[in-house]
Amino acid sequence: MYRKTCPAYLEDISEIHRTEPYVYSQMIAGKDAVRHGEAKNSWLTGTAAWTFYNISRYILGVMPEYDGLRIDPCIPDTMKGFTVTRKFRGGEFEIRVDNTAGAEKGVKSVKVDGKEIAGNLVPPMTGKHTVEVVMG
Amino acid sequence: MKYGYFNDSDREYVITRPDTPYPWINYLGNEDFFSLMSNTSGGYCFYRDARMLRLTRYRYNNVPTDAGGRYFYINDGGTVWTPGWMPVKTKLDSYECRHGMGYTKINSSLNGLTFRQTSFVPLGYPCEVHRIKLKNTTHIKKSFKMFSFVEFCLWNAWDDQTNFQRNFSIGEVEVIGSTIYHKTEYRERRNHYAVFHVNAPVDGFDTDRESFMGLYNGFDRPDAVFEGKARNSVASGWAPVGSHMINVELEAGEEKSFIFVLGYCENPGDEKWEAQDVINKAPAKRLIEAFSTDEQVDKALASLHDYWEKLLSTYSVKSADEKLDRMVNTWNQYQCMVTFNMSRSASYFESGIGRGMGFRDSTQDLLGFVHLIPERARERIYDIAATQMEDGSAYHQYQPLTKKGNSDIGSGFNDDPLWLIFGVAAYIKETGDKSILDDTVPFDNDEAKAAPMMEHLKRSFDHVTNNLGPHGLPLIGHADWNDCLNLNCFSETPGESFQTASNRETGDVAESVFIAGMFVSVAPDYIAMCEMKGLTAEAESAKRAAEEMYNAVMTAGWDGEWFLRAYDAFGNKVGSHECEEGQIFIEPQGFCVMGGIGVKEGYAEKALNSVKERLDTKYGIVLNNPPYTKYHVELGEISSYPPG
Repeated sequence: MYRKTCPAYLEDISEIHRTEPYVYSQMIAGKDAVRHGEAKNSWLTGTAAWTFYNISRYILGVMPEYDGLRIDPCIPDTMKGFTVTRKFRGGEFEIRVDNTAGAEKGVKSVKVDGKEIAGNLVPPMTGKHTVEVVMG
Repeated sequence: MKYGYFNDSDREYVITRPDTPYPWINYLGNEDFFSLMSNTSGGYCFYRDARMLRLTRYRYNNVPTDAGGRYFYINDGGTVWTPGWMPVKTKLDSYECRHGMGYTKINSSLNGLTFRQTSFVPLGYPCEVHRIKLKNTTHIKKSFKMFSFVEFCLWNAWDDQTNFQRNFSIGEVEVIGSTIYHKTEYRERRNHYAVFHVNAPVDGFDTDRESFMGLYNGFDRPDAVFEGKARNSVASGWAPVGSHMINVELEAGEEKSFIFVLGYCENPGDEKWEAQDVINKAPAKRLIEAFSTDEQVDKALASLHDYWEKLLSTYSVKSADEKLDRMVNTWNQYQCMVTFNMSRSASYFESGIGRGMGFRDSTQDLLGFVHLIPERARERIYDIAATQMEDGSAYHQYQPLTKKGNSDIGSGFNDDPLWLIFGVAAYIKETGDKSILDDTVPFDNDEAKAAPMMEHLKRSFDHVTNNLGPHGLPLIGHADWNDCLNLNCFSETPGESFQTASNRETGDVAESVFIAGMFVSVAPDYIAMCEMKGLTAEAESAKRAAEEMYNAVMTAGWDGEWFLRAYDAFGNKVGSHECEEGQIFIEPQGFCVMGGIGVKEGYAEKALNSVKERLDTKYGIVLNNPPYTKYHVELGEISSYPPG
């Protein structure tokens, strides 16, 4: 679903989509419309904030909470890993997610600077830190 | 098919042919001065407020589309061309437009003359800078003429396009050497003027549109350009424009650079004049001096680059999917910044006249922006909360220049208040800074009615529980997140605005399952913030309110296979399998599931499966289905659009 509406994935059908392939539009004409797939109202739309909210916090799973960064990705099982770099409250976290298990959701272990923590909430810390996350 | 490509290392989208399926634009500016610029050099600029302080004129829905912008015309031995292709549309030997972070470059060439334009709004200065580099790539000397062109707006963009009886008589300019001053109304109540300057001697100029263009010509055929002869016109009324004519000579292989500055200048009321009728040019001089050399421009571009690199380093991903990476690392965050700055005011679909900053829109935009510059998010939250009414309800928008709320595009959108809770929660989660809850913020922009932010959140939360309908679900008011679902509107009058008309004043029947889902989604944040402030009783009562709402949705908001959308003003279901059209809507499925409603009961999964089955298409999820084919007066604008 993320890919279906994400402009960078629609670049090849620019003649159908019509608006900029680098920004979201407010709407895309539906299946009953005359021009199914045609976008309108690019740039100034809540879609920008919501899609970033969705991809950054819920799909890639790096979620600011009151007491730290919750790490809880929800990704396709074909995605074997990724790295997010997140600056947060004066700290910089390099979050390496290992999904060789091919899970879609679920965090098995989290290590901060080589030390395993209980749960998946990384507390705020200043300075640079490495967070290793194993899904499964 | 493609019309360009992503250049990820420079964070650019490179457009390789000018006739894109729609104008593909960029936004320049990060602070007070903003410009819209299309891939063919169309667009306009304004200072702070797209309606009140617009520097250049732009006609929406024009023929051809996107006519008007900052144009540079070349007359090279009788061949006239514009590097952005529009408006002259001479076939170019090469063309590309590079939209980057806060800048746009247009590079093109014809007959051995290369034109490279870099346009941007520098940090810290209220102006746009256009640096033009012209190069002769032939083996013989070239002599040609370059004309700049902008059309000034008489500041108030609405008045500018409607009040011709006055406007055709008030245009005033001053021209000194290479500097054109647009000073309409400066003589009387305005304390600002515009300046358009080039850092080279000019061989002519024009400031009167008719003299430059010819009354019956368009942007594509200005007489002065085609004849290679500026009129040196000084506007008096009618339409003031700014155009410099420069005779350029380039030896074989030679390159020359020209820097154009178009800026906003403001003087204190008692320092408006240097002498009788002579405007105080000090602020213009500051802009001109700041961008008179290539080194200064390069430095400003480098600062802009560093600014964006720093911002975008807050969140970045590296994965095996380059499309994902470029959206997350660059473009989605860039767009979030633009929506934060503009709300819904000025785009190629929003005229910059109709709408100010939306209460819901701007709070929602914070969700994608708060990690970039949390301090500015906090200021925005303050501005928004200050337009809230004492009963927790909200104006649907406020004007950015005055920061005052107004009802021009309606009010009584009963989801509005809840967004404030989302926004404040997002700020605290990002920063850990709970002091925002203690900020003293006015109600209805009245300092006498100021209260702590926490109290604003309580009024927001209570506004929902104080306005419940017959099923214990939130009353929808004028509309909710879907502005077009107008259940108390009943409009039969052509031309009446669906957004402001309300013909069922009491509105005590129509309910929104969407707002119920949103209420349950936001309740944990409200409860958490109450607990931070030690408001234990309030937290407990909020928990009970959330549970009651959860139960109301489970009993009255469930249709069997998905969540209902609403109850209309007669208490009939909207978004139910019992309906003939509009049987299922996406919004309540999303928000109820986000609020965790029906997860343990298996309803949430059922609802999402229904979405997949009934709403999914190859281009994404449709809003509802089957689409409305008839006008339903009890549903309003949503049934006024063609199906689909």
